[in-house]
Amino acid sequence: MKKIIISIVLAASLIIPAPAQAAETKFAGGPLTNLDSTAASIHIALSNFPVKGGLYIQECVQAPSGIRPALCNKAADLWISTDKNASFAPTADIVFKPTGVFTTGATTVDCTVSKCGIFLRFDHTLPADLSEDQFIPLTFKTGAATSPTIPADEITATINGVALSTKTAIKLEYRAPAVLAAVSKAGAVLTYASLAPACALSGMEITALKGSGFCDIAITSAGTAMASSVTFHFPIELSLGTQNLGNFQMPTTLARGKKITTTSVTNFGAKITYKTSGACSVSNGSISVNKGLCKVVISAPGSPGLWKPLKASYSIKSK
Amino acid sequence: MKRVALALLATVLSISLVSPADAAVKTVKGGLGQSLSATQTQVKSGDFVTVSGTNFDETVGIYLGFCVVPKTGATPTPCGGGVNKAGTGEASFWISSNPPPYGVGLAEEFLPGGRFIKKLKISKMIGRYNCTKVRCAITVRADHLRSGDRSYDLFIPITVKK
Repeated sequence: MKKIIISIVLAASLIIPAPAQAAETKFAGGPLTNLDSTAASIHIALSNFPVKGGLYIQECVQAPSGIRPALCNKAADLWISTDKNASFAPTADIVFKPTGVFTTGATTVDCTVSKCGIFLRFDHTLPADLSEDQFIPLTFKTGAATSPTIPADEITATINGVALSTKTAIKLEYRAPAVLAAVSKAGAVLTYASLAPACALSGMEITALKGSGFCDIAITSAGTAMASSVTFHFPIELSLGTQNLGNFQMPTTLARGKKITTTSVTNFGAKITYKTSGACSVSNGSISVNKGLCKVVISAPGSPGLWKPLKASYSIKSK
Repeated sequence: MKRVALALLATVLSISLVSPADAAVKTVKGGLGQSLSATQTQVKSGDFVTVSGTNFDETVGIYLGFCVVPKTGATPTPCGGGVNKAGTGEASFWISSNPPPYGVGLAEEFLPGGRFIKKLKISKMIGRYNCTKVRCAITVRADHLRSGDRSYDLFIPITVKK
């Protein structure tokens, strides 16, 4: 029994990358194993991003505990910050491209031999602060030795019936209803995750919480006897939301002299302004129609980064 | 003359219709554009105060509660109702549109535009602290996923009547 427990603890210690210190930043992303040596692409979502400085994401050879890595792949470096010149914003779907072989100074590093990984650290604004240092191991394919003996599973996915691509982002508006569906070619069990905080995934419903930026929906096949496990990343580009009148529907006809109570806010809570012309008037949130044709123009302000302004016109005939 | 008198009467009536509670609405703004409002700032223990927020970042979960005002830059604690990871209670609320899996169904989502409106119960005692003797406030802070991030902290000081 004791041996079993020790084995479990040892196995866990091999699987879970231990941060050098108690870093605040939470790292999520993948794939992290069996990477293509020349065309790897890792999607990363960071949360709990520190407020006192930006971060660098680097590909490095692991150094002894407490020492920063010295052998790093400069070509893969990313700067994550709210600074406009940064590679990515902290909330973005960060795409990191490590390579299986790289040269630093006079040294050529082969990551199938050396222990390479993703190294997170504070950026140049806090060069001596090691509190965000953390190392996440990566492994690369070594050719025939680690080639999968069975083909990887294939996943097809849709949002609202529109096919998703791992290469081209589908567009999704702020707060627009979006239902995800996916199928494993091998019939394997699929698991789902949103790797960027700007998209909430609840069951199979995706909610865009921003009107700009990108999300990354990761779908993982558990694999079967005939197909190996695989994770597909589907990028989503967020765009400004579209306001509407919510449950209120503007009538096309109205009995002469009758009033209709309007809605004062849009589906996003923005205040609506009503302007009427012709045979009608608006007062205290009600539109009343006289004989003839009434024109109603509604407008509501947009919200930067979330939704577009609303402007629409309606005609109401009196009966 | 009659018209003037009527106008004066109308003015007096409209002034008297503004309740003390309305007059005490307090709003504070955060550095990220968010704002927090409370309908009253002088209350009796056990009273409910309507608290509303707008323009909060919907990607960052928050706790709304009634807390002892901490030293500048320190984590707001203790709070009435504690850190409400259970998502229940009248003294604190967990508001998050993107909670971790264990928080689904516990945290309440923001309304569009990073809005919320809650009735918060004010108690004289927060643990061993007496809010008639120490400074207490309706408080917003980032949830436990960003527990060290003080940039989301907002306070509306409350006077608990004796």
